[in-house]
Amino acid sequence: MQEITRKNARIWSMLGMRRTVGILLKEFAKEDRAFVFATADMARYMGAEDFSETFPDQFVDVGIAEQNLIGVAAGMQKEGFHVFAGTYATFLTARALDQIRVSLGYMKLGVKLIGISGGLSDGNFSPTHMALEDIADMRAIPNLTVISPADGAELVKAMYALRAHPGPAYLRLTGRANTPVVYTQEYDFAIGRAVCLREGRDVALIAAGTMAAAALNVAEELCKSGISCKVMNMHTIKPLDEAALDAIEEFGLAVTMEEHMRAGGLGSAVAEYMAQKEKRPVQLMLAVEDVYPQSAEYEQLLESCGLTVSQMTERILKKCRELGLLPETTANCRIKGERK
Amino acid sequence: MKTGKELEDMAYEMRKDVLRMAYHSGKKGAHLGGSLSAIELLAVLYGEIMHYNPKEPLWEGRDRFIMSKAHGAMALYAALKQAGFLSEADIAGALDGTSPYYEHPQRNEEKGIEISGGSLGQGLSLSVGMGLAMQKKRNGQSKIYVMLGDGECNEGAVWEAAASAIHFGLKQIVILVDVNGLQYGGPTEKILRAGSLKDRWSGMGFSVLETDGHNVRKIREALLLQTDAPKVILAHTVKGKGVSFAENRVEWHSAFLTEALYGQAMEELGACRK
Repeated sequence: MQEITRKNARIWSMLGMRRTVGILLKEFAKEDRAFVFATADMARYMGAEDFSETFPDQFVDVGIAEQNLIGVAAGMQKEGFHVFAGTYATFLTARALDQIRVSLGYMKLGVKLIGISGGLSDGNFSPTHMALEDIADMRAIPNLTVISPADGAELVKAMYALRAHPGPAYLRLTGRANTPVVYTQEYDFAIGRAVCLREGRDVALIAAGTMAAAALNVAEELCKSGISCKVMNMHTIKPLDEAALDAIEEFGLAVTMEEHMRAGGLGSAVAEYMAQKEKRPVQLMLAVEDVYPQSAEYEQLLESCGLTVSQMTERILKKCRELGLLPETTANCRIKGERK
Repeated sequence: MKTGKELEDMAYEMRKDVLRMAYHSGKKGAHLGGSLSAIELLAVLYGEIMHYNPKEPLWEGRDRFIMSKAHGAMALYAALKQAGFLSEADIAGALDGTSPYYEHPQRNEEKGIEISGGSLGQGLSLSVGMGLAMQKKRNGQSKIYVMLGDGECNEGAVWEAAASAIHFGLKQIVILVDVNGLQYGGPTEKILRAGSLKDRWSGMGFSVLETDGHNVRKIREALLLQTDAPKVILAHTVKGKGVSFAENRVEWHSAFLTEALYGQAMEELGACRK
């Protein structure tokens, strides 16, 4: 088991999730003879270029053929292997959607899918390489677990948890190399249980993936205006942690933040649950607004989608103003027991 | 080894069961045409070629059958009854709206149904995964028989899977294409011209055999023949085979069998046996 230490966190951050996952795939192959890594010509991009040489019997590359990737992975899983299948998030989830639906959702074959370049991180390659509908597609499929880890440490946690999880799942990797670090020490991770990263009382920020680190920065910014934010890392988007959402029903505002289309993502998942509650906060959904952004570098893309820390802070401040949630004093935003 | 006559008798019983299921399915209709075209292929597979044990359905050394053209479900159920997986009661209740034996089969390995089907073009990919697993498990004994439709070969995913079967050298996979020449909307050649299916498969590296898909002796011969490469059997069949009003009629891809038509069909089947 890879331990969460400051040093490891730094290494994983440097590598980014896409290459950190390669380390884990090799470790799993070493530990479990029935473990198989299947890909559609993307091993090298996932930091697993040497996987095929080190573990030739546990490696399958079907070429650039995502539909076949799912069928082959499912067929092996059916015959008793433990298959993790990875490639670009959007090609994996959108192109092979029906195969995922039938073999993983309907037949419940426990293949674990790894989608790399979730969100906007590879947007310099144009919108074809942005994964902006993958959460919507995956979470609509019964029996499928959907996880988007906050940083490299949580990716490690999620990979181990998924290895022990019998059902099928989709793991969405976000961010580029030098991903912001959220965790530098051990913590409890469980599928379906959100992690509170910061306590607060006025506004709840709910995020997944690298957006969780951004949410912490937004909370710090809003603190300057006296707004106390609770930050929730909703790493498991399905099944959603409903108890964690019940705990914010008294809040004035809940903000969901995601690199995903507004339709069907984390914000939608939260809204679907909250809509049926009598008591609930107003929800501000920060997401990509039903457009394919122009091709650009990651940071520029976040800006064109209104998802940088300063843009999100402004939008939340504006909403707080509209709702009359701005406090009179800016002195008292931190509350006891909060974690930095 | 069974005699040709015994396999023909088995096919006869299976056809009657298919007609019964189609009739009992009620007004919504059932996929009669593509079930009747596949009968002899399944009779030879389950009657003679495949190794399986209904008392130990998950036996590792079993041969697997993958019904990729899953609208042929009734033919599969009829074969599974002959093989001892399904009972008379299962057949009597199949497709009735409450039975687990759906219009398209749902995975139930205990009953010999390896995969769920209905969305075309996926069975061969699953078979490739299973074949790879057997290769890795050093199971050199089991074979995987996959049945595709010629209409199903419209699906691009079939060809992704085919390329990988060759690439991974999976000789335990045997593909049977039920070439009945018709699909839902009309003749296969009219809907999407395939060119030569034989050239397509052999061009990819398969050993391709063509045979009469209603002649049990020839089917057996094709299945027993050793080939250098993974085998594809193009079985030329008649959609709706055995029932005069359904033979080669596109509307019988899926249709409703009235009491009168059911009676006529059963009579015709019986007459053929005399």
